[in-house]
Amino acid sequence: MKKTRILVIDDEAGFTRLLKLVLTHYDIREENNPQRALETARAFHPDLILLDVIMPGVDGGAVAANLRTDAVLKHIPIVFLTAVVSPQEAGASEKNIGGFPFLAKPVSPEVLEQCIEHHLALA
Amino acid sequence: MNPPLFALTASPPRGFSQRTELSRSELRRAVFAVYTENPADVLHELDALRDKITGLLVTPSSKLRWRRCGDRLYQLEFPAELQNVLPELLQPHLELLGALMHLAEGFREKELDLARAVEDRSRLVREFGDLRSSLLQEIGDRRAAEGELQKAHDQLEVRVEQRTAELGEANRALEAEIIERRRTEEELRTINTRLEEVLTDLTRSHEDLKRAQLQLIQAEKMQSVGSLAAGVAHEVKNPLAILEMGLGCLITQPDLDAESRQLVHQEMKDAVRRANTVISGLLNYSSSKELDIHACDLHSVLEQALHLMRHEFINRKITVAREFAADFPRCQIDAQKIEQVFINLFTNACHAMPTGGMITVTTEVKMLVASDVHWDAGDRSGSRLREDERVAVVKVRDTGTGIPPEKLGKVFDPFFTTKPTGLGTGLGLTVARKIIDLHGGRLELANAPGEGAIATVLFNLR
Repeated sequence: MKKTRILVIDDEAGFTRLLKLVLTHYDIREENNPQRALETARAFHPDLILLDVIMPGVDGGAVAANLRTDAVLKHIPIVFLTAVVSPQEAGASEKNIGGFPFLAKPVSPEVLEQCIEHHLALA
Repeated sequence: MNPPLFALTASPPRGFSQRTELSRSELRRAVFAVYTENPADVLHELDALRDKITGLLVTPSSKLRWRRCGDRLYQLEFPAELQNVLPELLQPHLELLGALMHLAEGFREKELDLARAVEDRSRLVREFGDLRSSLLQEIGDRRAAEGELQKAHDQLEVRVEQRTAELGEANRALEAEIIERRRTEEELRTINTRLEEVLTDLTRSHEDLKRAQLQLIQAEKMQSVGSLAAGVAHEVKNPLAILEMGLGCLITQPDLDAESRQLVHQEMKDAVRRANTVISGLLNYSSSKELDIHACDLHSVLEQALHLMRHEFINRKITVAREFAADFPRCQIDAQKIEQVFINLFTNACHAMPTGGMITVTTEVKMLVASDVHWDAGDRSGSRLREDERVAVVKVRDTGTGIPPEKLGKVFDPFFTTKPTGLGTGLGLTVARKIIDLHGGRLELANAPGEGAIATVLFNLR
């Protein structure tokens, strides 16, 4: 079975590397340069995009907006990853940032996987 | 025998008055003397006398002649025929005559004496006259001198009066001035007291202001701490996210290959270090309230920082050029904190030159001019540097990539960084600027003409 493709857009290389290492069930593409986010998305055709919010130069919100306006990419589910909001604030369930679901860092691999599956199912 | 002479003289002998009548006997005894001032009268008198004699001698007058034999001496000449007679006739008279002549001589002598006396008198009179005139002259001179003296005296008196008047005026003026000065002194003393009060007030309000300023800085810091908190959260949570992932990895995949495990361990270690650095930076930032200020040699602080960086420089093939000013004054600084600032600036310079380059450190003392003091209107740094202030300037220039112009305004924002993630916390310049601000100085960053960037630090030499 072909693995689900996840594109993670985050400037933290350490984070994305470990994420790829941990989430073995998925085919994970790392993109640490948010300027190349659209390009990589078009090339990779992910099933879901994990998007960091605070990044140098281009922030996650702008990337999300760009993704949504792209004809090809606009249907791909996006989950924000943010370091600013605590898990307690988020509660057990995800809330939305600007209509997008988000997850609060630090997040355990299990929770992350659960979230991914949840939104894949929704799509 | 000599013919008898009758001497007649114009000077009458004493006791002999002119008489016109002579008795015969008198005649025989008399000497005929006629005295007159006027010789013409003498002749007349002589003629009268001759007539008398002729009358007595009953001889015609023509036979008697007068012969002048002196100035006032006339000799009566008798004719020859009478001469024989005469002696007897005249003998008795001769004695008298002699006496008379003697008398006449005496008289003549007396006359001479008199003349002499007269002459003496005249001389004396003359002398007296001379003396008198010289005396008069002298008196005149003296009177003149006296006059002059009097005049001088009068003038002197006038001048003395004037002087006295002037001095009196001056004295009055001086007294008035003294009064004026005393009053001014009093006023000055009052003003002085008031000034001292004002000074005390000013010092107090200055202290208050400084305190308020520090509070403001603290408040600002607290405010920026708010945004800092968000930044800290982000900067700490990312490492934590890595730790979380790493842990998850190690737990769920115990039989992970060695290489991967190594990678996980490394990432986790780096994450911890990063989080630690951020927290330290934040602590630094918030604790930089108290400064340990001493008079320090800025050059030795710079050398210290350069020394600490030497390995970095070598590894990155970076050379350092120093252009330090001579007679650089000591600055009132917290040496440790300023060293930290320099290290930050040198570190930034190094990161801007990944393939090597040169750092130039210059120091100089200058007076600020108007163009130097155009700080941002919104800037609320602790101490504003003014025109004409003497400042110490330190410049750190690199030959690196420079700062993109759109980012220049943000370089001092907390957690702003142009570097790849993990390299630097983004707090370095923020903290550095705060440190410099607390020193009453100024830290600016700009792109250098050509290539690279220049960091300029100004220290107030007040």
